[in-house]
Amino acid sequence: MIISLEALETLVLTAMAVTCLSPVILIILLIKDWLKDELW
Amino acid sequence: MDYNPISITTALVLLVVFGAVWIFFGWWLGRKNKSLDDFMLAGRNVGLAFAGATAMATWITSNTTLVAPQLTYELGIWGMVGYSLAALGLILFAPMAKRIKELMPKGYTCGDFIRVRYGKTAWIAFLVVSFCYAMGWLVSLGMAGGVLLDTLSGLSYNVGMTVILVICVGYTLLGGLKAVIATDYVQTIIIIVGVLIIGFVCYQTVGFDRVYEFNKEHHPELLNLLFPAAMMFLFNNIFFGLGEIFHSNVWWSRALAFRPGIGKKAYLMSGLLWLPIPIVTGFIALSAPVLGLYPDSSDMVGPMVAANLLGDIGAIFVFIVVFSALASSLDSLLAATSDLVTRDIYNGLIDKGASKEKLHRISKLVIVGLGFVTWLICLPKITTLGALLNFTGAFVASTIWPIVLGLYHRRMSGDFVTAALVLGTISGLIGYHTIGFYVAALFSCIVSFLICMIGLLVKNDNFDWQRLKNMEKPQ
Amino acid sequence: MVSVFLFLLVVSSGAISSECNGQKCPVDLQLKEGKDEVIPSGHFNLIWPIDEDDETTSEQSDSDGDREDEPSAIKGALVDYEKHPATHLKISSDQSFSQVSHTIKIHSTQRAVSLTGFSDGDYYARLLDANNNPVSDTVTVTVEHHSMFKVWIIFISGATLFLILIGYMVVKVFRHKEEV
Repeated sequence: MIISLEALETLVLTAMAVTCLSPVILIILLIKDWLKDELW
Repeated sequence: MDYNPISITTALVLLVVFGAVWIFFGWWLGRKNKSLDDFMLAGRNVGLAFAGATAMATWITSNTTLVAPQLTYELGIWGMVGYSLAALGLILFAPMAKRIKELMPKGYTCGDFIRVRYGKTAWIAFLVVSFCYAMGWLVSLGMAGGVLLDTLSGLSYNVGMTVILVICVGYTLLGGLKAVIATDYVQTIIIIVGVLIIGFVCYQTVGFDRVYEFNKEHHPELLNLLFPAAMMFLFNNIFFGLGEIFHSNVWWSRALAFRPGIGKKAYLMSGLLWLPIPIVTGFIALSAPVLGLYPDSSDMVGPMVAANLLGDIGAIFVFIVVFSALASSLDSLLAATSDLVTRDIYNGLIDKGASKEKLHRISKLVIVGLGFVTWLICLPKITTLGALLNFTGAFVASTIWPIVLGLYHRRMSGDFVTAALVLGTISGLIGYHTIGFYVAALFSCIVSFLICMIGLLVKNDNFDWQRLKNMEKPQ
Repeated sequence: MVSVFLFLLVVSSGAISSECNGQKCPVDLQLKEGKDEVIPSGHFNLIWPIDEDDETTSEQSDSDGDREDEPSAIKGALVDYEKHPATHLKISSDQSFSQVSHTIKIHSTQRAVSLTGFSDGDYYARLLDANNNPVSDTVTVTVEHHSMFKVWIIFISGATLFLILIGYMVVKVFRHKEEV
C-alpha cells in the first residue's frame, strides 16, 4: 500500500507552513519578555 | 560538485569563528552568576521565550537534523512521521513540568526526586539508566560533529569531534545554564530558518512529483504504508522519545529553572512547534535518490542533499545549521549531566555535607571530566548515530511509567520501580539484539508497565508529598 | 620476493575471481551487515574498505589529489583521502546484470554507500570503473522483510500501550488539580 502523491504533498507542505510560524512566535515572545524585563 | 563541498580552510575558519562567538557569549552571560542556583538553574526564573526556545533547541539536536533524515532514508514515510511524533514527549511532559516545579521547588535534579520518592535502591538503578543514556547521547553528538565535518569538508573525524566538544565544554563552563539557554535561543532560530530554506529549495528544484515517481520505481518500500520494519519502529520511537524526556535531567532541570507557571506553556509550545520539523528534514532525505545521492552512511543523508542543492555557499550554511543543532544539545546535556553527577553522586554518595560553594566548583570540574570521557569514547567511532541512540532506547523506556506514576500516585512503591527499571531494560536489550533496534524501547516499556501495574495492585507506599517539598537529605 | 608476496596475497584472499579479467579485483566490495546476512528492513550498506597491504601505494597516488587550494601540510595532517578506481555501482536483480535497476555514482575517495527502500528479493551489486569494467566481485544481498504477522503483533501491542498511556495522561495528568 503506497502513500498517494497528494497525501505526501499535503503532509510536507503543512509541515513547512507550521515551521514558518515558529521563528515568528519565538521572536515575538522574546520581545514581549524583554519589554516586561522578564527574560530571566 | 566536489565530493566535499567545503574546503578545509573554510571549515577551520568557521570552527574558530563559531567557537569564539559561542565562548564569548557564554562568558558574557555567566559573568553575573554568583550562586550554585545561578549556575545550575539560571536563577530559577527563566521567562517564556527562552523557556520555549531552549526546550525546542535541545530537542532539535542532531536528532532532527541528522537522525530524522536518516530514519526517513531507511524507513520511509513512517520513519518520518514516527520521528515527528517524538514531539509527544514534550507535549506530555508539559503538565508534568508544572507538577515537578510545584512538588519540589527546592530540588535540583530528577535524581533528587527518585531518591526521595522511591528510596535508595531505585535511585541507584535510575542513575545507572540515566547515565547510560546521557553518555550514549553525548557520544552520539560528539560523533555527529566529527562525521559532519568529515562529510562536508573532508576534515578528519577526530579533529571535528574534538573541536565541537571543546567549544561546548568551554561555554557551558563559563556561563552555566544561562549560557546554555541563551545560546539555545539563537541556535533554534538559526536551525529553523536553515531547515526551512533547505526544504523550500528542495521543493522548488526537485519537486514532489519527481521525488514520488523515482522512489516509487526504485525504492518502493520508502513510500509503503505497510513497510514492516517501519511499522515496528513507529510506536517504538514514540516510547523512546517519551522515555528520553520523562526521565532525563536535561528536561527536569529546565522544569525547575523556568519561572513558576511557565513550564507547562513552554513545553506545550515547544512540542507543537517541533512537531513539523522532522517532516521537513525527512522530506529532504526522501529526495536524495532522485538527485543520485547515496550517502556513505545513512546519518549523513540530510547534510549531503542540502549541500548538493545549495552549492558551495549552501554547504557552509548547512554546516552552521547542523553545528548549531549539535551544540544546542551537547551543551544542555553537559550541564544537566554534570548537575546529576554533582548533586546525586558527589553530594549524595561521596561528600554529603558539601557546601554550595564547593558544589559549584565540583560541578565545573565535572563538566570538564564529562567532556573528556565523551571524547575518549568518541575516538574509536564504533557505530552509526541512529544505532547508538536506539540502543539507549532500551534503557530510557523503562522509566516512563515509574516517573508518571511516581508524580501522581502515592501508592507506587520503590521496590517495584527498581524491578521495572532493571527488567524493562533487560528485555529491551534482548529485543534489540534478537529482532532489531526498532523494538528495544517498546519491549522495555511493556515489561516496565506490567511490573508497575503489579506493584500498584499488591503494595501501597502511601507516600507523603511533603517529603519532596522539604527535599530530604540522603541517609 | 615481490612475486612471492603477491602470490601469498592472492592465495590468502581466496579464490581468484573471473570477474576482473581473471585477476584479483582491486576493490573488495562487501556487505557491511555481514556476508550471507538477510536484510529485514530493505536498508543495507555496502563497503569497500582500504586494503591495508596497499597503503603505501595509495598514499602516493594521493599526493596529486584534486585540491590545489589546500596547503599540503595541513592536508596531510587533517584529511582522510585514499583513492580507488571505481566510478559507479550497479545493482541488478539477476546475476548476469542484464537488467540494471540502479546505477549509482561513486566518488574516488568514497568507501561506503548506504542503500535503502528495497523490496523482498535477491540483488546483485558490483563496482565498475569509467570504462564499465568490473573492479570488484559481485556481492549478493538478500532482502526479506519481517513477516506481517510479527509486525502486527508488535504494532498492536505498541498501539495498546500507547493508548493506555494517553488515556492515563488525559484523565489523571492533564486534569490534575494541586492538593494544598
